[in-house]
Amino acid sequence: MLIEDITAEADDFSDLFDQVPGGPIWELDTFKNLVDHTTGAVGRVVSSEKEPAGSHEFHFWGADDALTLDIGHIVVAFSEEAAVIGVVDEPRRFSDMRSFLDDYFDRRMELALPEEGPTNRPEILVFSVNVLATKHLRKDVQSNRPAINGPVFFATSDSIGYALGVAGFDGHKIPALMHTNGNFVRGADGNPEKDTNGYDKFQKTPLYLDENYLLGPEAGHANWTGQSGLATKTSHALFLTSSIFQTLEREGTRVAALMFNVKGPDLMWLDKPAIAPEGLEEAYANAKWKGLNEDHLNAYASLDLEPKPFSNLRIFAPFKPGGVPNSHSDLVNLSGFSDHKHLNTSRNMPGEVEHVYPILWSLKPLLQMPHRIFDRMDLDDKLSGFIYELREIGIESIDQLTAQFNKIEAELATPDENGRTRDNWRGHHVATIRKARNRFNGLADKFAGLIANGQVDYGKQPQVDQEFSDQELRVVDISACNTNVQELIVTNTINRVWKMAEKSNMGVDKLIVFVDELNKYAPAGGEGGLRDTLVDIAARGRHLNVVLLGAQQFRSKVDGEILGNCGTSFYGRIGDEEIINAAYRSISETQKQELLGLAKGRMLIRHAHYRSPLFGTFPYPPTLPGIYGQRVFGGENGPVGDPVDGLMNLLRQHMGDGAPHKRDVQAIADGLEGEHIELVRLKINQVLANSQNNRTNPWKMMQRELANQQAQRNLR
Amino acid sequence: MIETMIAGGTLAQRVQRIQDALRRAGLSPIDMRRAGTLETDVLLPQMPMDGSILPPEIELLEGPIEHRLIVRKNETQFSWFIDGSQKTMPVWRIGVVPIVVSIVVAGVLERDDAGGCTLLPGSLTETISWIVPQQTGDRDIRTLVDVLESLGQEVYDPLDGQDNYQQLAGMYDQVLLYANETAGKTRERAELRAVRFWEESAAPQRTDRWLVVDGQLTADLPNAIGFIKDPGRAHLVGDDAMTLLSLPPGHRTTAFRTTSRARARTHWYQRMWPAEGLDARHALIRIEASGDMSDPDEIDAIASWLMAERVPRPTSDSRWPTLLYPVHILERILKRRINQITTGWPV
Repeated sequence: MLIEDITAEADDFSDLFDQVPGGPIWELDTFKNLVDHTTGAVGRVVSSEKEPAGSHEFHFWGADDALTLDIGHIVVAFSEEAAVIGVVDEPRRFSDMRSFLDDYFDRRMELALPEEGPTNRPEILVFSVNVLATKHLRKDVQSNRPAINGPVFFATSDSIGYALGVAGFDGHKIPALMHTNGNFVRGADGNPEKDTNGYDKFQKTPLYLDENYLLGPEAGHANWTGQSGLATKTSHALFLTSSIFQTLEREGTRVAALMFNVKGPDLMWLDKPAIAPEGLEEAYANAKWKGLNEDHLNAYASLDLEPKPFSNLRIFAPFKPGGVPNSHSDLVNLSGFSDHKHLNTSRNMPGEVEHVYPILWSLKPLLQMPHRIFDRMDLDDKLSGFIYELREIGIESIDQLTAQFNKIEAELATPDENGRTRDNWRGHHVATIRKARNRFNGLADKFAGLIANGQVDYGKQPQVDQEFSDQELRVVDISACNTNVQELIVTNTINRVWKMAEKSNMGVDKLIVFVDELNKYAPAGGEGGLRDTLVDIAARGRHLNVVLLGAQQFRSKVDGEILGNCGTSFYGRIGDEEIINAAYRSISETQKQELLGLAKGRMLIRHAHYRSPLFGTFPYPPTLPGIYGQRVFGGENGPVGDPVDGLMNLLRQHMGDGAPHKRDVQAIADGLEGEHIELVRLKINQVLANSQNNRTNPWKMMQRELANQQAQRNLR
Repeated sequence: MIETMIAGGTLAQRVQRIQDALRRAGLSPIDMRRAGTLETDVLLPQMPMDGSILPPEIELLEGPIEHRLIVRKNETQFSWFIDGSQKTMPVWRIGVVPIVVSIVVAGVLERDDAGGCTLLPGSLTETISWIVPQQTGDRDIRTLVDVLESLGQEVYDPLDGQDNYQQLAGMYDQVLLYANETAGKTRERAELRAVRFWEESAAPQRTDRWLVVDGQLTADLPNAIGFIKDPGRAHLVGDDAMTLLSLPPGHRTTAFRTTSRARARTHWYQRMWPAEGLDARHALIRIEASGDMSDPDEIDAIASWLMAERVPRPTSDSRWPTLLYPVHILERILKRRINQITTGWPV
């Protein structure tokens, strides 16, 4: 049956709705903007004794020419006095064939039938629909009455917004995904608009999240699950973080994010735009980065977002093994640090390190958490007691500890008045002390690159666990570290940040903490370690303005309390072994089947306001993906980055809007090699870092240093 | 072409309005709305036997009755199919006289060249009619008929023309029997209207295409056949009947002509599916065509078209061996329409 037939039939049966004054209910002003009248009816609600329509699910058969109708689309049907809006779920094609065998035998017996007969066997496509919302004629009535037999229409964007409760959001709406419906965007002439490929444009509608249910206080947190490399978890987390940043910036809320880069250069170039800036088009192209296409840009425009990178990126990384600076007089001085080559991060190219900072610990914090640095079997009561003793006597560095061990050994080696040597020091047996020295000696290798021999003086260097600034995206790069260092940095950093939140001194109104591999840090059935902190964040974070964004490949392996406290969940492609777990029981079988083969860039979302999960897409993140950033700016394709950018970033950091224009800086630096420009930047950076006052003018200093370099170049 | 619009909604709503009018007229007939349909009433008596069951005289057109292999070409010229459906139900009773309502729906199904089937627009005929013996002399029945007619309802007398009218009118089951027959005639009229509609609107568009009427061919049409899927009345007897009952699958009998009431028809039988181990009439159909048809090649072609119409068994239709699939589709459409009209009816 064609759409016109269904509409005509709908009119025939409009008497079913006679109690509604003014004709068919879908023509009433209250409901007019909910349905796509131009496309017309795309099916009819059917209910039978075996499969009746319910408050949460109904069925309809699709019109023969409603060829765009598919899983995930949003449609509108009607009950007596209400519109029933739902998302299309399982499609089933019915025919009147009695059994498969009938068809088989009838084509193989005597007088066999031909392959193609003159009459097409009618096959109807019946879709089940999960109800998202109802809208009653009266605003004060919440209708739960099922849809009755009648026409089904595509939902308009207004309808979808209503169904997702956007009008009832307590907080600002944060764009998360883009829903694509089966109806077309039409021009003034009523004809479908075309995209750049000449195809009819489908109706796209932003899917918003309620700020108060994502960032608290009503609910909070978000979780991504899906297969590594296929589920685009990190890409969407970055997109959503950008969306949150832009939304909160507009409303004047200070926000920051803390992320851990756990593999490759994924999060290393988040300050670089996905759209090639002027002068770098060729470099982007050489890196084979295709950039954002028209669809992506349209999506950003529809979502009222800009495809701009993070403007306030700070990267923290420990040192490479063997790269930790030597201590002098029990002190490692990091003020004015500029030796980025020794940091264990892929972002250490000249001109690209102005926001890259070191992480280096003395022994002191490790003594506070012996259970994290020593094996469980080693850490018995005796060793614990000895470590407490070390803390009590004020040991803060490995240099001090070495001196203390030497002192103890000397004491133990000295005979008493009876000529006998002691077998304990302050009650700690010599064997325990030897064991402790042995184990502490192993720390340098176990936490290579993270532990200094002396105490650490950061000077004015930013630190990974200090207050955040507005719009700051703080990335801790642990991708090249061993597991011990990774776990220790993640655990300690989050614990410290959580303590800051408990004291309300985060420096921002909202802090996002993104933890990938959540199943590693908060495994189901696990306890202790970071798990307790993450559970605490999940339970109380929304009240303390800390939001946990977690991602993992296996949702079923993550602590249930954390997932239970997540107001929003995203699902990418999921493997068949994983999806059979109870963690996915709230998803329909059809949606599970879709998840098994979900395309990149498409996700299923569950949100506190949504009665049923929805599929949506999102554009590429607004930043250059790590692997391409590495090619363009990381030196893999040669030094294509503009070294003057490093100077500009330094000037902007210290002068803000008063910084000179880039062309002025370029004019002075013209002709200089990149390494010489980088020398200038490092020198000025060091001076400014050690400056005790704010009277130093970075621009004047830069002009002077660049002039010196030009002079030396002429001599060369 | 909808003869009686179902305006005002369903049968139940219409009956309610009539009942209100009857009440205003001081009449309260006894309710029988849960009595069921006459089409499925096993207690309904049979029509009395008369000479009509004897085989008609036949004129052989292709020599003696014998088997002819149908050469199958997997092509067909049939583009239209006509069928009707009815539902006949007692509603009230006044004394011993049942008051019966009959719903008849008929239409033309059109099949396009791609095999898609749709109802020919405008071809649907829907009739709700009342079947009441009007000459009983009973005042209440007269009142009822007056009310029905004043509300614009069609009323038919099932005993009209019967010699023993009063006697039959006093026999409850006989009134039902004749009411059922009257409903059948109403259906025939509806189908005939569908035929006329096709003749005027569709047939001239494609003169090379043919019509299949489900049942007897009630009009002389050049490009049409009647398809009798339940050939209860034997046209062949004796050796001819033996030849018929042993007809192999994919074969037809030679054709013959009958003439009745100045109406000549050409007939033949054909076996649509194998019948080994089954009733001798299994998958046996009889074809009626215009009496002008006698060309064996034309008869062979039509028999071949019919063989090409077969499809694998559809759900829950026991008549599948003798069913044309487009007719099956049309029946479902018509029955669905009747169901819509009877929505809310007690049975």
